[in-house]
Amino acid sequence: MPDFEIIAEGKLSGSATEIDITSIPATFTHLECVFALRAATGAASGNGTIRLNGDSGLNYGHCGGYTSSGGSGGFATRTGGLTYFQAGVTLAHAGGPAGIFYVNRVIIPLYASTTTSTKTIMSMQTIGWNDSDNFTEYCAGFWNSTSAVSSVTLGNLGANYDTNSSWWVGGYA
Amino acid sequence: MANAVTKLATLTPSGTTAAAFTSISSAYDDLYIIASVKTDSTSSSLTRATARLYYQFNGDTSFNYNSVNVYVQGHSSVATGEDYWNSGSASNNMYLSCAPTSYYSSSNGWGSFEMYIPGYAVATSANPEYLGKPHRVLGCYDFASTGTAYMGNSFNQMNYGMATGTNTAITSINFKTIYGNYTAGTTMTMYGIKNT
Repeated sequence: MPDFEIIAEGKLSGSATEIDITSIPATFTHLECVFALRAATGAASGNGTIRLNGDSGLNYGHCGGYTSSGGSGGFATRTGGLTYFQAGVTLAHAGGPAGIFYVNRVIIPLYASTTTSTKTIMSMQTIGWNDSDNFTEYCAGFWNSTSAVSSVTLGNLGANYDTNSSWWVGGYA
Repeated sequence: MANAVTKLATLTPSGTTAAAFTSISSAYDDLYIIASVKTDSTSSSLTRATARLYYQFNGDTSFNYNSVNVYVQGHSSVATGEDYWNSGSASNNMYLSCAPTSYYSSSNGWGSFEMYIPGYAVATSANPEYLGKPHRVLGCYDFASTGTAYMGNSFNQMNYGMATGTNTAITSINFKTIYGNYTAGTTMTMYGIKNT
């Protein structure tokens, strides 16, 4: 087995309410996911979500910092007791030009552990298309579970994923 | 295509304050480390200070390190986050808050970090972009579990560090706890990255 391997990859051929990556094997040590996402035309929201193993219970928490163009930055604080990890996925604003996708990178160390009772999640996102429309965010959170992560589902908060949104998931030995 | 990623070593420290990658091969272009961390300290509340690890390259304990970092911390009782940009000043180590104590929970509440060091093996001034071994590290931890008042107190830190005195290849990296010992389950994995 190579020390890094692409487990799954794909691209949407049409808009979708969610992206479901399933059957992730427990044979690796750490998991990395990269998503290039865009909201479908006319969408009202640019936020997406991550759920692991389809768990919709109050088992997630996260907080993150962001900075945007125009000299103003800020930090977003989000708390626990949530039913999804939000900051890990953000869609390109619907008002952005065609072909612009929001790049997300998510790391889940020890994703396959069944003894570590909390899985931490680290993520970084960035997007930009001109001098005044760019944005970067990093965030961290957790999923309380002793189960190995076997699926990653990208849901949405009001915006479908647009055609050509793509992803890959890789495992580190 | 040759494999771009090679696992070099795994550390699973338990009951100790130090975890060191040693005898790091210079055969790669970059180093990448992914880790999941927790300590057994129960004597201190969980703050970014008590959750710190500090690290040094090549056993260098002199004041040859500088770093700048930003962090944000989420509290269940605080509506907004906190952010700090720390100007670099000479230090004898670099730190990273990613190792939660067992103050609230011995099982829940883990931390993690990833570190990327480009040009770690460059040992000459012919490549000034690597002088000081600038690198990026991102760490995080969370407090406790569902149903407690502490859930959601997650924390993350991004740190751009630079060992100003380092113009030699990195052959060892030592991660040390501030409070307590590493608990069982702590895992640090180092990978060598080849660009070609």
